[in-house]
Amino acid sequence: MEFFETFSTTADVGIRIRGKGYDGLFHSALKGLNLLLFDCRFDRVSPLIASFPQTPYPFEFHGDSPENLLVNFLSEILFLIQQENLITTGLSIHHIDDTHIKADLLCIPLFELQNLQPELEIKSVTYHNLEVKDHEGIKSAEIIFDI
Amino acid sequence: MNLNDFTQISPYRWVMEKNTDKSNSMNTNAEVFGTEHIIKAAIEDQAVQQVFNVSTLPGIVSNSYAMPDIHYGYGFSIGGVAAFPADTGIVLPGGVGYDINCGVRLLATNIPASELQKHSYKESIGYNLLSKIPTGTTDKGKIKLDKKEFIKVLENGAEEIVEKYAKYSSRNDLRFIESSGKLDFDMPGIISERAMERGRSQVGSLGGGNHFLEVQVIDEIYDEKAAAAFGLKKGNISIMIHTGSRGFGHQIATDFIETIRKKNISRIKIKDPQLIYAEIRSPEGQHYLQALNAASNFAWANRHLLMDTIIEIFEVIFKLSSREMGMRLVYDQAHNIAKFENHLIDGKNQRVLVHRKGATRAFPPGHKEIPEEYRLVGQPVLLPGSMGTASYVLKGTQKAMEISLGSSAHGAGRQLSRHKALQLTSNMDVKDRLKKKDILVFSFSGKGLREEVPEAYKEIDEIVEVTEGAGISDKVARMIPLVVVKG
Repeated sequence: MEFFETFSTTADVGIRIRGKGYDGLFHSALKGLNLLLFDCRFDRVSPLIASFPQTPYPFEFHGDSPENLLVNFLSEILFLIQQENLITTGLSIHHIDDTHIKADLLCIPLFELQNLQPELEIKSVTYHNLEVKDHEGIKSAEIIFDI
Repeated sequence: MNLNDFTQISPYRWVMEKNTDKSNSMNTNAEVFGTEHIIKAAIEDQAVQQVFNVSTLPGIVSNSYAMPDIHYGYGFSIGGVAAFPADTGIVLPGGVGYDINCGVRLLATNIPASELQKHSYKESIGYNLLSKIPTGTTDKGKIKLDKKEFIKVLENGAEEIVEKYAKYSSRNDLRFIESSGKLDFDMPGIISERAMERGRSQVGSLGGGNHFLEVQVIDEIYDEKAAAAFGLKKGNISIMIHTGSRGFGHQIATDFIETIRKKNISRIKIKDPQLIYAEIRSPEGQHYLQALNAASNFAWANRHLLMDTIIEIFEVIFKLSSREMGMRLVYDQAHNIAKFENHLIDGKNQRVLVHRKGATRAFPPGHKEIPEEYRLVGQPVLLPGSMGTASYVLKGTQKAMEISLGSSAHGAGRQLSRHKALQLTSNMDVKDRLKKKDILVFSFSGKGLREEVPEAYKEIDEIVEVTEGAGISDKVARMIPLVVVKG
């Protein structure tokens, strides 16, 4: 059910994601972002992930819409990578609805994963053409990143 | 939207007139500077739709413009220029972009390019720039500041670097930076802790993406008088820096888009949510403008410290002082910014907030906001190409004041998406290919290089043709890359 892929516009890049309910959608968003940032190198290091403890990084956000939650969720993951050198490799969602998410982002320092570095610098997550759609409980969205 | 929606009013100017808008939503004309080829491509990639969307914003004065390097953005197109009254108008973070005061700085030298070839200095310069200048996403800057020191940088911009951190520059350099490298900022309390944290460790860093350092040779002079005023001599080396406000500016944009969204939730159903805006006079408008100035000051400080590091590297390699090498700052120019300016609009002198997103200021001879040394010829307009093609120095014109709010293009502008660029270069060694053209490229990111391959960008010569043909800036000199360092 979970689906994620990357795409690009003339100047920027994005992810197309789908999942069962918000839970599935946000898991797909995390995987899509990691694919965008690390490309196939993430697959190469993923067997190592089990060898290291994932440190939970609490994340809670009250917003005004699912789009608002998604932008802030992805911005948090980017902040952890760019500022704290932590990659979010897993996600444990405690609560999620249209306007509220409470979760643990499960993180590993980049240097533990063969000093994995992002392939591109994402400046920000945009609201451009962002709309979370629902079809019989399957949520989907396209998110554009400014790079 | 198609070409028939536009009237070609001169060879390089295309206007969609307000009175032809069937939706009746335009508040002013939409105008694109370009060849037919440029405007057709911009219609196809939806960028022209974005120029139209901007023309529907409340209170817009003059036209909604797009420069010839127009391409699809979010909110404004890249290359977009729009102005709103300073007292009653609006401000849009989407009219500036996330990399606030992304810009270009050019240094001139009196080192003949032949010196580089003679002593194999090119490799040495490239390796030293790549190893001593922080590049990429996670690298930190040259200096780590405490919060108090960082706030002084936000308040004073490039001046703070000259006073406290630079070894090779003086207060005189500040005159050759747009707005002297400093805009008014006195509200540090509005800057988030997260922005502070990101910014404190990033002063003096290049970043990634399309940011670069380039050592060039000046290979053509088109305007001897202006080139002499700018200190540009055929055959000599010049150095170009392209970067912005790094994570600090990105965080400021993210924070204030969120604030303005929350305060103006009813406006989200406008044509594009990235066009969310605040009244200039509102608290959130005032706070965004203050934060914008802080990020602009950060970017000028960043480029100033980078320049200092580059001069240091050149001194070591050439075993000459910067004075002996004739190193001097030609100009530093923002291309993602909003600033208050005076313009003659509809026959009246108006104070307006001009948004330029992927567009540069191009003030004419005699304008009081350009350095005295350049006042007879006009403001330098810096137009970087892609890493395998020429860059240009142009000069601002009176006509730009009359027809483009004193604005011109900012670079080549992308024409291929990253995915298409990667497909195109799947079997290509970009470094090797450029080496055959005598251009040495240094980068830690192979994928990043492929995404920035010259074919991904529009022909810079076509952009220059339009800026000259339309009269919004005139050619002064052309530079060819010799060494490129990509973030």
